[in-house]
Amino acid sequence: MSDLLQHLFNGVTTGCILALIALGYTMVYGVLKLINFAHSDVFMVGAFMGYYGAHSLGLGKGAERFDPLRVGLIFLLSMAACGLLGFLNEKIAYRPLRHSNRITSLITAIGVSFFLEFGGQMVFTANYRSFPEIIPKTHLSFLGIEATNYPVIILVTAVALMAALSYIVYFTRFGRAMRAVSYSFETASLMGIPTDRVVSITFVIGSTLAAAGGVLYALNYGEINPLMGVMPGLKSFVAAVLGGIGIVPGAMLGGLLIGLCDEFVVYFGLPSSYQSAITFTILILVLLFRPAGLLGKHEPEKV
Amino acid sequence: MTDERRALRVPPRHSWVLLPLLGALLLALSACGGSAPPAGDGATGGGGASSGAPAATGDVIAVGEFGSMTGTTAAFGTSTDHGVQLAIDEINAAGGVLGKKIKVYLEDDQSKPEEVPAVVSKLIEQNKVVALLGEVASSRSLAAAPLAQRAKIPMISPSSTNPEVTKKGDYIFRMCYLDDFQGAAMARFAFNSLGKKKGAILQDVKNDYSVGLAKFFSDEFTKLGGTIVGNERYEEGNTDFRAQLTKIKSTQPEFIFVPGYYSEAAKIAKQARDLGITVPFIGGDGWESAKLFEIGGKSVDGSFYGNHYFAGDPSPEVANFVQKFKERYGEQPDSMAALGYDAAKLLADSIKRAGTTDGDALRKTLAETSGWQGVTGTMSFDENRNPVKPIVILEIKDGQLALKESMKP
Amino acid sequence: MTLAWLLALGGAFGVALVVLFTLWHDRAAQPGKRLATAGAGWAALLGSLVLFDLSVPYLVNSYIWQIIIKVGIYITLAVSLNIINGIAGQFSMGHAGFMAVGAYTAAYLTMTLGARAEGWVRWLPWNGPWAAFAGSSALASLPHGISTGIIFLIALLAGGLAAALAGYLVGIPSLRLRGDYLAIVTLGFGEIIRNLIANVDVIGASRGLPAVPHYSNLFWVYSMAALVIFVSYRLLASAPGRAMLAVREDEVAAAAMGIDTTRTKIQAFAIGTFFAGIAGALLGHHFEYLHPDYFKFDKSFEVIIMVVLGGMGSVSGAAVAAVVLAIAPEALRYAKDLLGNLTEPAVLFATAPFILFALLFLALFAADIARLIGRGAARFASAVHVRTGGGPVHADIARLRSRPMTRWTGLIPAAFSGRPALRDAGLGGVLGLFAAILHRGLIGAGGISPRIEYWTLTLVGMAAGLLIGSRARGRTAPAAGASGAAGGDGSKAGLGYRRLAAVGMLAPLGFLIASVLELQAPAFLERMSVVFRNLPDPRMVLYSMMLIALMLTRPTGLFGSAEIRTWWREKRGRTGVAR
Repeated sequence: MSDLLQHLFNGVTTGCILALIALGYTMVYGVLKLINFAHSDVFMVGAFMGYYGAHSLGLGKGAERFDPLRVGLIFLLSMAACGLLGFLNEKIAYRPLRHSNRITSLITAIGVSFFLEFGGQMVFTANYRSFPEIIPKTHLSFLGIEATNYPVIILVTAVALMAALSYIVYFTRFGRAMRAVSYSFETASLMGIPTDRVVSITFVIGSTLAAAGGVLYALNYGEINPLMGVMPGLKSFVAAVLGGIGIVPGAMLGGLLIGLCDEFVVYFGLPSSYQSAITFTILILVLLFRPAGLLGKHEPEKV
Repeated sequence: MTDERRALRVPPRHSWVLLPLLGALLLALSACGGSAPPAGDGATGGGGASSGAPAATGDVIAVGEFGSMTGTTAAFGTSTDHGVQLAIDEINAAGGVLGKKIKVYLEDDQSKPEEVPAVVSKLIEQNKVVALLGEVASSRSLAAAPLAQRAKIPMISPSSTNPEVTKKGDYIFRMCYLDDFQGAAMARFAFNSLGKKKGAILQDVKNDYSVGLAKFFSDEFTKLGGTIVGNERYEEGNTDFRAQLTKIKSTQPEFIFVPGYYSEAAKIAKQARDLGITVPFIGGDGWESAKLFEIGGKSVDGSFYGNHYFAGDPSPEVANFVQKFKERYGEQPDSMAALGYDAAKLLADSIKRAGTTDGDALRKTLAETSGWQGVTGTMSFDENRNPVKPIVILEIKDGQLALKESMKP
Repeated sequence: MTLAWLLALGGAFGVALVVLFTLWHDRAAQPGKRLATAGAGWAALLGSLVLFDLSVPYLVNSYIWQIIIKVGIYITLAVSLNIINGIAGQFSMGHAGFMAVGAYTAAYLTMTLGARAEGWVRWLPWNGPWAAFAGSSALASLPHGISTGIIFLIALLAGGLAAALAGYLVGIPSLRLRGDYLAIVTLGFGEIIRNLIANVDVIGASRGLPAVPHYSNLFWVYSMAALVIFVSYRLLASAPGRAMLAVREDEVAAAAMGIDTTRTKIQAFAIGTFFAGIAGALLGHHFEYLHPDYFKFDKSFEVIIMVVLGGMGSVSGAAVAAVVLAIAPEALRYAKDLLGNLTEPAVLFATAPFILFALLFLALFAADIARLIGRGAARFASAVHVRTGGGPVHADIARLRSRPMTRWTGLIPAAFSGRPALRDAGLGGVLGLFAAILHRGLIGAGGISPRIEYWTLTLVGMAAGLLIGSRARGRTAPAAGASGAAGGDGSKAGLGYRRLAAVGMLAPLGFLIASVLELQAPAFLERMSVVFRNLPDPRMVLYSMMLIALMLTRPTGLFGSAEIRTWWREKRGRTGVAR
């Protein structure tokens, strides 16, 4: 029983990080109907910015005590940097193609993703770097689960960010504009909503969340490298689709489910090399049988 | 129909003259890629081989080195390269071999087996190397061996431990012990020296090395009377092992055998300690890297792994090598560096003994090597071109390595 | 050796025959004649491929040969994906998975059957006499080649069929989806297939499968490439092909016209994946080592780039792009070797003009970006100003906001507009430069001093360019469109030439700077060389940059056009019969 709980706990932790990334995918798809492949690499850049931030703020060898100011600064720096990256990405690569067909945008998105990944390899070198423990690690033990304080921090931070996002999306004017744009781009612009700005800010917010996810992921695994975004990116994309792409709570739900799924593949005795296959099978099943996702509403294609 | 014609924008006619010329140029450039822009003077040498001149009759002996300078096992490749460069520089400073200096052509295979054929054939054909040094990872050595064998170029792998590698042909040699010996030795160590009777294995199914080592270990361990209570898998490049570790934890092993590479091993150790697993880890020579400590930190303390040499060995050979390496590179040489050093030195020595760089003669001389003294021990090649060498088992104490035991084959 | 040359000559002759037969076939109207010429053409092609296969390995070194094989395999890959992506318009991103299926199936067959295939060669009655006749010459391997070839053919077909089956199974559920969802699902399937293969122990699982027999040779690789190109063109001229084009253009309209869209799409999928499987099998038998990592999404991406670069829908475009992308890594390696030796005067002189051009272009690009940022900042500032209740926008800000952007990077080609003489001189200079590079490459060290050679050849080239250019312009002047159009407007066809001309014009300046650096700052050159030597492989970065640039400027690719286009129809009018 206790290892079931342990598996659950592990799954929820990774699921939260996946949810943070999935939110970016889902929001961008909502407003632009574009799958932003480059999002996973923004996540990677966030982790690297956190790494460099930690080193420049003196936490390069890990922290002795918990220093909220510096840790907060690290998060803010990386989030700001990635927000800028997301903004530039949209402005340079996606906006000119707003009115071309979807495949062109898809190809461009893939191109940007590979550019960031392999460009990252050239700039950051392909080596794995260890991420410093910017928050001192302590061991916790409860309900038969062995863990450190890291999963708790991750949970708390992720939930806080998701709550903040939900507040923005559902309770502010800007959020209403975002939802309007995702419902119908043309009508929203007719209603006087500055669609370009809404789209840009959506990208910024999504990238910010991905950056936070990146730093949390780096903390969790202690290591970063330029290709670290590939698998988490694919998994969180599946999560976004599973929950209903374009729907914010859907991304959160999907993230948790996929995180748990990975854990349970091993729990039920399958070798862990099947994890990817199962994740993708879920993706395909969802797209075939319920393309709108778990929380989505099915809309017939209009001609 | 004519719209399509318009879509083809045709350049002005007088520029058409250039098109066939440029085309011919491109063809010619690619065809004479063999003769790259001139290697002006022999000593500094050009990037490509000087056209037509076989490297040995120039004033250099060309030796090819290929390894993973970038990618998932970049540390192995760069470490080996450091060892090779140190050896070659020492040899050249002492006057070279057969009156000529050795020039090393280094190619990066990016830790990918599919890059190996291109880089190896380039070294053989473009740079006209007389021998190849590489690779560290068995899967990449396996990809390279058929090419070296066909081209009759001797290939010395510094640290590929999978038995299949030297079976590819009589031009393929290696500098290190084999996985069947290593696996069995580690099993004997765990059972006899550490007194553990129950263990779990966490193997990397992406690498022949790891799978082979796991198999040999578990075979020997069960033969001695121990039990393997858990056997989980992961793939090189994975970052999350908590699921597998949780499962292993529930079987309560007395140790966990992790026959993978340092990057994953370190993360496994860290995550295991996070999950409250306190039993020691045992590993193979894939653990050998300074990065193990960098990534793993305190979690690898109390673990053991098998290795090719021990840097703290007080013998003059080793101490000398360690000191020179530290002076040049500012860090302690790991066993990849040591094996690379030995491989290069053995190659040079064989060229000297053979008196020629001809492939067949070199191969024969290499195969006859007996009692050759290197940093990683005294070795002779057996009939399968594998060296007979001892394994050293190291213990990690407080972030430092200590020699625990040494086992002979 | 001479035998090899003779055989190669024979092969070349065979290719000429193929061309002849193709032209003859075009003109033939009766079905009998068309069939005969087509058959003869194929026979000639296969015959010449056999001759090439026997001779080329003796004529080129293994490095070049390895590139030639890779080119052939890539052509098969690109054209096969073009059938799915380009002709039928279904964006599949899982091509690598089908390659894997074909590769492993074929490898399994050759490894289990192959041993027997090698064996029964000795039983063939003609083996003895042939061996005596051919000795150890180029012809000796023919019987062996034939017998292993039969096994290989079976394995290839099996691999292709297995891949086609996989394609069929993947297609049935997936092809109900549109556009990017289809792309994602095929990506998912590609990964699933790869993951499943990586779990099957008997074929090596994640460790890879070594000891795949080395059966890929020129004959198989290029005959398959020819086959897939042939199939593509036949498809375009056939009814199912037209259905695919219709589905590509507008699926709903096609369905309304009575085309069974699902069946059409599945057909395209099956054909495309069949050849993907064959290409994978050829790849496996070339590397002699199969590993699931060969077939990751990176590989699918490479094939997609080829198709997109060539133009989706264009068979010739896909083939050309495949050749480019197969040679590119080697060209990059070559360039890296070059740049890693900047201390060599010859290398320095050869690369200086290009480096100078690159630096100039980058500097101008930076100027463009700076202006963009400046304008953006000015816009932002004025917006804030207005938002915070400021009065009329400050004059300076307003001016910055409205100043039109001069694309500085456009200065390079614009410098040549209206100055055709300069452009011709520049192009001639570039040719001279290339000639000098070529010559030095052939003669190696020695000969006249590199400096003199580069200077003279470049200047001679410039002069020649001027002369030839002015002559040509004199002749075509009345067709004022010709030179004016190429020089004056922003026509993309002229842009490349003008950039090349810029390199040529900068060459003398480059030589001067190179000489100065060489004499005064050799340490700097050495450091630069080391930087280049340690540069990691820029392949993927360049590919992705090119892809993005392509999508932003010319999404139809090199040869593609967005409209329905069939090769046959262009030549014949609508009925498909020769005029």
